[in-house]
Amino acid sequence: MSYSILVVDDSPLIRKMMKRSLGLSSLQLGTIYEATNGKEALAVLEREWIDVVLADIHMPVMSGTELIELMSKDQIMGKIPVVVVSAERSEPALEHLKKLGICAHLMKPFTPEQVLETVNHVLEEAARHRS
Amino acid sequence: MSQTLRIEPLAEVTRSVLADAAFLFCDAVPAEAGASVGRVAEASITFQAPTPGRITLRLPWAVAREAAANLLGAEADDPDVEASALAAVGELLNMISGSALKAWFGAAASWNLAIPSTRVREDARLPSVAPRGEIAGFVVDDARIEVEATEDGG
Repeated sequence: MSYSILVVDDSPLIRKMMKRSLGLSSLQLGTIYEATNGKEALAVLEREWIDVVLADIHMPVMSGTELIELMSKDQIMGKIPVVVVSAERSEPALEHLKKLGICAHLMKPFTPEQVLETVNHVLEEAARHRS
Repeated sequence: MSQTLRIEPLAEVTRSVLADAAFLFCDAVPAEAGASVGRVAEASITFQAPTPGRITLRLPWAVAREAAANLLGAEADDPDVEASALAAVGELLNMISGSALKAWFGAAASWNLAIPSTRVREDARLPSVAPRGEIAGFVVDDARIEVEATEDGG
């Protein structure tokens, strides 16, 4: 089974870093989709099967928080694991994201190892819930 | 001088983020160091918080390229590096800002960070002349860099 991942970040640099990190994974990865904001991410989620979303918070057009709020209200998208990848350190903001059901928060700056460890863990958890 | 947006925590966070994220190691500016003039990558971010303001990071272009190369894990001559240099400074500032706001206001506070704006300044002088806020300067690989904290209205 190969996993499809959606990376949502307005910074092309971060998207490249993510893709390079994920490329080191021993997991069998399918397509790594990219979106530059929440609105683009929703469009990808509506047409593609995605196993995990890695989303920034502060983005133009539609923020990561808005994206996660909309996903949580959708019966299908609400089941997709979301990892927030952000420099956000405000506890009230992080609490709000936890209440929305995010699986993990990966703090920037991150290492490739942290990306892989987080994604592996989230995918394992998702597989456990399915079985 | 701002009582809240103190420069020392911002300087400490800047040192830490540049080292951890981009392997850029900041040294104190030698007493005999003069000003430098050249191409500078500048990123600036505003925030709403108990004390609203702005943080600005300025790196000489060569240091910005080095940051991009290290963030990407790419060779210096990789075409991605030149194209990503300005974005690298914006992303480093984003990382610095999250930690600086926590250091200034505490993790229990709420704040709202805007999206960083970036620009290239040709023939820019470092240290900046007549900054609007308070500045911390460092040297990275013999090149001057600086970070500035400005309270709204400053």
